[in-house]
Amino acid sequence: MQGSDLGKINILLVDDSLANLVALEAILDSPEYNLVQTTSAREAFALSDQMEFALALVDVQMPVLNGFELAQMIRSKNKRKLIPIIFLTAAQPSDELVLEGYKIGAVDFLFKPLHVDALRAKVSFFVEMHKSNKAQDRLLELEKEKAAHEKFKDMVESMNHTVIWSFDPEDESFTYVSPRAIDVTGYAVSQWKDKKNFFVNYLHPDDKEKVVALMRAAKEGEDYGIEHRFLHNEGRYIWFHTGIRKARHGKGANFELRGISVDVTNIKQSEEALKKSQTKLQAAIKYRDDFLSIASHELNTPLTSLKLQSYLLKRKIEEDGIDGVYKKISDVTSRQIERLIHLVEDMLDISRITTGRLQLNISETDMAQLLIQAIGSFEAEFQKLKIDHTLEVVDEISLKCDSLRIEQVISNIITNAIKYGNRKPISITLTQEDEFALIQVSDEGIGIAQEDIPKIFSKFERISENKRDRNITGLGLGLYVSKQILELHKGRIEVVSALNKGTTFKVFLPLNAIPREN
Amino acid sequence: MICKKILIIDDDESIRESLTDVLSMEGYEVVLAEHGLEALNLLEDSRSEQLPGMIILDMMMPVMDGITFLKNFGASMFEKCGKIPVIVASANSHLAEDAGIRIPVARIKKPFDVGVILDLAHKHCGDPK
Repeated sequence: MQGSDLGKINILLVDDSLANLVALEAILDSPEYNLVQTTSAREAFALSDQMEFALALVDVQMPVLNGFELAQMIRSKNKRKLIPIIFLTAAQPSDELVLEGYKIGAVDFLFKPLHVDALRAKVSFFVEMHKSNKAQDRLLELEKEKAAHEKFKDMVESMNHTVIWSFDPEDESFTYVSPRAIDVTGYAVSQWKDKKNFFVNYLHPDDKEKVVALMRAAKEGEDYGIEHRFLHNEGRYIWFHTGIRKARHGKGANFELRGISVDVTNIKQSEEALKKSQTKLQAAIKYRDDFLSIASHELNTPLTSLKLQSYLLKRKIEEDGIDGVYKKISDVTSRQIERLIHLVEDMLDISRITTGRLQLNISETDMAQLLIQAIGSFEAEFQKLKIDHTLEVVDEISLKCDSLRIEQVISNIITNAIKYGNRKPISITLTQEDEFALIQVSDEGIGIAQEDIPKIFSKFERISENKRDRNITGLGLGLYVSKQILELHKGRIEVVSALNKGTTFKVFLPLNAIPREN
Repeated sequence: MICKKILIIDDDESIRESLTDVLSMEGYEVVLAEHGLEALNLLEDSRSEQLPGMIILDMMMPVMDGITFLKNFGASMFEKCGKIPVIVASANSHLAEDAGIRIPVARIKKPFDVGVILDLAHKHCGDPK
């Protein structure tokens, strides 16, 4: 047997006699044909599966498998492509045999000895028919391909905000531009194609370099995309996302650049709007923080100076032994300065709390020490007002907290006890209760009505004047601030009170929870 | 060695004056600087026996603020002045954090108690009386 030659028409010759095959070959020899010969019907069957034959010439009388049996096998194996079969037979077959032959795919019977011209003519006819079938198949395939291509092209070209193009890097001109170009850029396809350096000339000056770099990279085989501005025919810049890829074009080493430029102006604009509002928000946050810091500085600087001056005045009056009205004025002044200082601090604390900027400086703190220090700062007042006070440390406790802030809480409560305690004894105790340190400050003063208890920890709340001494002043910020400080420590404050019997404030601080540091 | 000199760095004139009065009254010697840079120059020009025994430092100041002063002070003058305690007196107690300083620093909040300042002065500069 012989293999198929490219471009030639395959014809299968099957005869158990080699001499017959040689004779057939001699008759049909043509540069157009590739004569595939075999003496074995089994091999012929295998070949029929592997190759495409325009025609098979099959000897009917063969051992093992005769021609009819072979034809039947070929036909049942491959129903899609029928191989026309011409049977060659020495004997005149019966009519039934001929009929059977036609049923299984025979197109003709030729009798030996073969008529050379008739054989050639018949073979040539089937070869032509095969060629014509092939041509038709190819045409159908092309039609299908073309339809698919058209569909794809239509899909691509109808994409909104998108220009698809190809570019000849040799010629530096566009070879294809999708028709949407006019909608996207305001320039018609012809303008894209005809103007020299069309694309590059309409780039934003700041973007030119990176687009040129993108094209250069694409020529080197890199494949990526960038965002850049492009001057619309209406004189405004639009944002393009352009991706470029190198692709083989035509035959040989020629290549072109294929690009897709998508108008992303809308996305870009909303991105920028978002960025702008973020910047604004950040500025507002910074302004707020700055305000707190500046307000704190601006208010506290003169207060510091006032406090020092008032101290100096007091010292001077003491040194000079001046009594009476000057001493009284000096005392009132320093008290009012202290009040002002506390008010400013409470108001700043409230600003910090409401904006979540209250910072805790956490350190291990001995609670008994903290209480001694807090009480110590009221010593002068206790003495002056002749108020008895006791501190009972039941349990020694050390825990992590912002000691200055906790001292502030205790001071606030002691201030309350002095204000509303009717100058009766004040007792302070430190105990451990479950997982908490418990500090209790009790007075025996005017007490708080049950209905007023929930109010005392709210902002700007002060118990109505008929229930409390008219002379007692303050915005009532201290307890609100105290509650917030304790909550930051994961602790809490509670109050137990009865009118005219006294009040006990209970401060709970967790022993182990490390407070969050915000 | 205990030194009775105290350096006050604060841009507010009335605070500088009042503090000077208070500390002088107790017998301390006071040196003044209006901002961090002036203080750095002053310390640089001082011989070691002229150095203060304590520094009271404001945070918000023009020219050079307290944080920048602390950074420079800790970096360039550590050998010479690293043992001088710095009392950071600030209206915003959190401002002095994270300055990365190696020098001993105590923080007090403005407006501070005279008693606290005097206690610190006694501790670091002794009792002049």
